[in-house]
Amino acid sequence: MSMPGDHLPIVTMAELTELKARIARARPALVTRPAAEIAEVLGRVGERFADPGDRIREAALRDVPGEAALSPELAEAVVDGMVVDWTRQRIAGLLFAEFGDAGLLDGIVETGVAMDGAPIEFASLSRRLMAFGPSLCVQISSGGVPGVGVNALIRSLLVKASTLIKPGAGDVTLTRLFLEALAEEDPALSDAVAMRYWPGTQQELTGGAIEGADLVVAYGSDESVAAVRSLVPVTSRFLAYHHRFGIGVVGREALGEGVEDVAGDVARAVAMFEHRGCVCPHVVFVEHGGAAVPERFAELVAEALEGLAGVWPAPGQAALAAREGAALRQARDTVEIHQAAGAARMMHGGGANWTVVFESEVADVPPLPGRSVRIRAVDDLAHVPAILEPAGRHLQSVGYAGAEQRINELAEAFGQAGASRIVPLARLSFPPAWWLHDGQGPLKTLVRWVEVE
Amino acid sequence: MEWEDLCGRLERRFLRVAEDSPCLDPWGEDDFNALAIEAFAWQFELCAPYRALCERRHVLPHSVRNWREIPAVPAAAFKYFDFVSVPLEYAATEPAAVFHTSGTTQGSERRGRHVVYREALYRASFHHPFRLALLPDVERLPVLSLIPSPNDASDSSLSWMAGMVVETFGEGFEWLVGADGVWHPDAPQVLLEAVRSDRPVLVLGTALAFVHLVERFDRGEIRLPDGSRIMETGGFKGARRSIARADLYASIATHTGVPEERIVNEYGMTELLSQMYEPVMTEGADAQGLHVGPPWLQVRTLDPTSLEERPEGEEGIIAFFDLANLGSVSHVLTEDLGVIEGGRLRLLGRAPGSEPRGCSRAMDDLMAAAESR
Repeated sequence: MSMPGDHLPIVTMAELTELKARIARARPALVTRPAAEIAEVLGRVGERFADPGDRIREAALRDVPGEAALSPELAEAVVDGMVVDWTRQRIAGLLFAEFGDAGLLDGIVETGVAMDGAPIEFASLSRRLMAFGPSLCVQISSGGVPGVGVNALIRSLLVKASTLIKPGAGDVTLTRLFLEALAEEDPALSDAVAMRYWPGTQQELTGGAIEGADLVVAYGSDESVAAVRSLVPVTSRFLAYHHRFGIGVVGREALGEGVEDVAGDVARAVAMFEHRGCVCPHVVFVEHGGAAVPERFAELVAEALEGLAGVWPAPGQAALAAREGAALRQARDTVEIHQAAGAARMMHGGGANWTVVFESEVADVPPLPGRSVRIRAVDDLAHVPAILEPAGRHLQSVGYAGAEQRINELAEAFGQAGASRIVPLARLSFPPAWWLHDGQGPLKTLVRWVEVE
Repeated sequence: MEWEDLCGRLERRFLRVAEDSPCLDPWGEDDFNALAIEAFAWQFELCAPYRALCERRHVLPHSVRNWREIPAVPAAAFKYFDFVSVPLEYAATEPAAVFHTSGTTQGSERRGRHVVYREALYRASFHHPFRLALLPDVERLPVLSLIPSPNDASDSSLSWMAGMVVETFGEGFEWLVGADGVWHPDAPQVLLEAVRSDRPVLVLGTALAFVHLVERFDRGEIRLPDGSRIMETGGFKGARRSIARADLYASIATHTGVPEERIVNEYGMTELLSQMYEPVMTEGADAQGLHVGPPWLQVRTLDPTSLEERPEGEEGIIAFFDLANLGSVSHVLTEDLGVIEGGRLRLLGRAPGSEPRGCSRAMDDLMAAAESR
């Protein structure tokens, strides 16, 4: 049986050691570069992925579908969604959002004039600070969503870390192309980065790779993150992006005119990344009391998913289809037994891989593969956070529609339940570069501070 | 009682098989069909969730002409429903066994349940297929089990089966591994004693247990007496640490001296009470890779979308109709892919990543919590 990544050349321990020595040699030059200049270079590289005539974009659109098991149409939508954040403007925005003054990464900066009403100790105090990125950062990325590796690289380089990245097996292409383009744009900068792939099961290679790292960042399933965590020495920092999931909430206000658009937003968020992303909604809670009843909303989502099956087809590989088909069949037929008992209603695409389960009463249905979503009616969205709390450590994004007047209040409750991002449903799939990724600033969490008192 | 009458008839058929046909030849189509429809009628009557599914699909006992029309239950549904098809008199008593699916390395996901009331039927279906696969030449052998004993793992159908092997075919036995999969302290000694004796032994274990075995001993250190044989089961499906089977068998053979034509692979699942084996003991190592089931177990491969039967040689999802499952549901659809070749089953393994992963498990937690509200 072939596994993802089987075709990739696998690194050896000796090669890893040599690569780390190479990127370490490039770091003295890296730390002398102003962060804003690095951002400018990274943006120029990223913009090539958006340029229709550029060979980098062409290669991305050619190779991502096969590698990431996406149809060419959906792969293009994924790349286009990702590159929004890879521009000069957005990367500069990321630096600004995180540090205000990007000079904090370049030297000691006098910051923060105290506000009125500050405690007396701070009344006239400003602080002299500098942020240091790790000298060696090892990024163990995941393969579910193409582009995660590039985001990881951008973050690492902005804080001037020499970086060794292992992309996920489904995300090698974009990472590799980014490095190729970086080498063309700015060879000195690209010398500070190395990319190699090895299977996550090869623990000794992972252990060798992270030896000497100041910071290890791991993305992926709980199991793969746990496997990396167990290898990290006590003197290295470890940053984990374990499995997360999204949900949706639809307030009664959104169930009147324009409800089809809201259903379309849900469908796109479900189908994007073939429902493999941590931002993808698994359940959408729909409030009673709107013009359309929750079950009708479920039907509209089903119709939208059926429409999307034509726009963004599922991947075409027969082998994948057979395996996904087997898993879908298990899950759908199990739901059908619930349906026979009156606990749920299922709509699905037959040979198309979308499934919508509307739960008229609490049903204990199995996880559904493919583009699937459960739709649950609730009397009041205020009841939802309590339902989510047991899964809070895996909860990430809450996409909303309607309920705009109540959203701050709801957001507090969702935050309490574990969520870190409350966002209109239409923007659920692609968080901005500066999003508080799982609740932390994406750059701030990489640095350590030095203060002059 | 009529249900017990059917049980009794099936048990007698299962146990008589070998006298009529030493090779477990298929029963006639009409013969199997009549029994299958009879079993379905009982399952429809006695098992409420299954009946609801059948009614939803408009398949009723009196309308079924061929067993292939009978709705199949997905193996995954055993995680969500207890499929119990026994009369009230039985259902009011303690079941003989409640088997749980093993889960995988991830540990925390939901496990399926198979409740067994009529032990005799399970024993009858086990007996001859095992004997023909592992002991075609001798009546009894000392058994060394790398599978935990049924006392240690009472919810494992595999342990239960190992218990039946010991009781039925064992001439002395040793349980070498505890419920947690850890070797008993005296296990190496027991193995070395078996090596020193010249009595052939029967060794039972999972693929992973044999990996541990070959890692633990030096080559040649546990050379088992001539005539020894091994039953290896499971451990390849969805295993994250994928062991090439050919490598494992070669390694077992060089370590233990048991040649590959005496290493028998068993395929079973918690949701089915019948088992399949590769008949290498009677046909040689060429029979590797193809599993043979008893005549009361029909196996087909189906198109996952249409559920149409795939012709021989074409890949599909594996469906079983197991008359030994009379007390639960006979027609079971698996998530495994396979090919039928000459009436035998070639397993193609399971989809990588088809087990629920982190996100989905979190959702399971969520929904389980919501359920308790």
